Amino acid sequence: MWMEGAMAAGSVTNLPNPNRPPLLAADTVTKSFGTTSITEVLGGVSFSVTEGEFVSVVGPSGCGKTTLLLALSGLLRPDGGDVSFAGASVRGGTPPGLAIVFQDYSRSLLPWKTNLGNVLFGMRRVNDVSAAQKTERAMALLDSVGLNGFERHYPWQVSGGMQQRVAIARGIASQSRLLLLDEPLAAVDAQTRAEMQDLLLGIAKQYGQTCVLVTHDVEEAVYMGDRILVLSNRPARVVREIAVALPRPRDQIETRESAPFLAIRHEVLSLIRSMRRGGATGAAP
Amino acid sequence: MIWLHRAIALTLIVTIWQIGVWAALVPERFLPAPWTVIQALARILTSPDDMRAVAMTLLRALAGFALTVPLGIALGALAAFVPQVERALRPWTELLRPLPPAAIIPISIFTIGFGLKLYLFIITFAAIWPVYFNTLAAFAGTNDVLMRTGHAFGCSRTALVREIVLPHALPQIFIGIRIAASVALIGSVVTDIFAGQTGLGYLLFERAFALRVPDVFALTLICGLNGMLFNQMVLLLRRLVIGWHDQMMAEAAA
Ligand SMILES: Nc1ncnc2c1ncn2[C@@H]1O[C@H](COP(=O)(O)OP(=O)(O)O)[C@@H](O)[C@H]1O
Ligand SMILES: [Mg+2]
Repeated sequence: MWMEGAMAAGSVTNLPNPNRPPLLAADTVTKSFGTTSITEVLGGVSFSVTEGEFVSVVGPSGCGKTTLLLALSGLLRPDGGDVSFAGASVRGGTPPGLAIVFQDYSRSLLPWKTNLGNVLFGMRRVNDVSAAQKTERAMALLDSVGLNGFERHYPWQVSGGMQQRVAIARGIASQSRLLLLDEPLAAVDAQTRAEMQDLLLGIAKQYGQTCVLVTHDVEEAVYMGDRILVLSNRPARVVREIAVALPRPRDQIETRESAPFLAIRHEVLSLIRSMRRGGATGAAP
Repeated sequence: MIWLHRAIALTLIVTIWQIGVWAALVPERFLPAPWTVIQALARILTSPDDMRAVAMTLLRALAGFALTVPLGIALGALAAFVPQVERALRPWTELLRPLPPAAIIPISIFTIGFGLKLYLFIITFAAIWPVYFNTLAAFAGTNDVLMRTGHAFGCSRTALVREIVLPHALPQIFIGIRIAASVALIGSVVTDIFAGQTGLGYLLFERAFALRVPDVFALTLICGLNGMLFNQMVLLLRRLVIGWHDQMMAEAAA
């Protein structure tokens, strides 16, 4: 499976180095909901993420992407399989060094804290710096996501797009080694979305941030990622991994028009279409 | 602008009242003119004895309120976090909640006698319900997105309560606190009336039996003004504790 994607993408530059232990590893993670009528949501998801990688996860709406991210972050206990982060299981809850930006970002911001307060909340496990240094760092982060001048506003006083950027800043503020992003740009308009994509890539580069980005937008997955994981319909499984050997920094116009970009886009879209037609799920062998 | 509107409303009400007096719908003995009431009010406000009575009622209400709020929050929190407690208590809360404060005065006098402790008991009994039920609902209703956020950023159980559950619950708890403030005042006056030797309620009935009708009107007005005072006190407290919520509500309304 691996090689198919790699060949479609042309040269392979971002294969995980087998000599380096993965930062995050999911091993046949399964999860079902319900007691009387059981919905199988995760049907044995396995993959790993190496430090410094930007991994995109695409899958149809409702296939279990959010469930997967919650399991990866230790917020939801899988029924079977295991997730390990930096070599240790996340079973005990979200480990330090792992941060998540929720899909429901506006409700996940604390309305009783200012934007600055929310970012500082993201730093509550950072304890090697003084309060003043934390504030300084939080201000710098808010500045880097374009919220200069809105630090003392409450989240409900700023637009949805700004709330989203506060949530992203809060995720980064925890100085995490891994940032999980759940469809962070699903609710913003196309223009803002393009800007935020580049902002996220810039931040990931600046802070050397390893990212797992969940999205249902195939082009976004290709544009952002070093690697794409395509999930099946529910119950979700990784049906293909595709390396994205596009040069960085990426460019909204050049990258999106380049032949390798279009080839990967084609591959992912036809895969998703065939799943829709065939109704294929992860349950199929 | 709002002050202009309020001035107009006040003028209108006083005018209608005055017209009612002139039309003699009720004998003036029983419906005194506004000016007569204002004179009575001035007399009461400058009488040290009367003002002591008013202050006693206010202070007892305040003491009862100060006792009720932490107790109601503690019980509500206990019931929310230990569902068995809530289930075990529910028949009792359902039974006791609808009792009017005046109805429990006889039993209370038999069992605990007169004095401040009677006031504290009646007030707490009457005012605890809104605090208890609102606290219970507020703690039980914490949304899981916020809880997840707390977990995701490494909150321990106690940190979760301090950082997420409590701040999220406070606006609703304050709804209960605000109701409790007016109920505490009612409880204080009612206890004056039925079991007091002092206080605003006692004074009110004393003057009523003496047919000093302008005084009765003035004292009733003072009861209402006390309520306004209490309400302002709670609003101030609320602004200090959850100013963010006041601001959010104000901006949502604007
Ligand atoms: N807590 C839950 N209880 C029951 N069903 C759930 C729960 N969470 C998710 N589901 C179901 O699991 C499926 C996948 O949900 P989700 O992970 O949110 O999908 P996605 O993020 O890909 O849109 C959906 O059918 C949803 O209804
Ligand atoms: Mg989702």
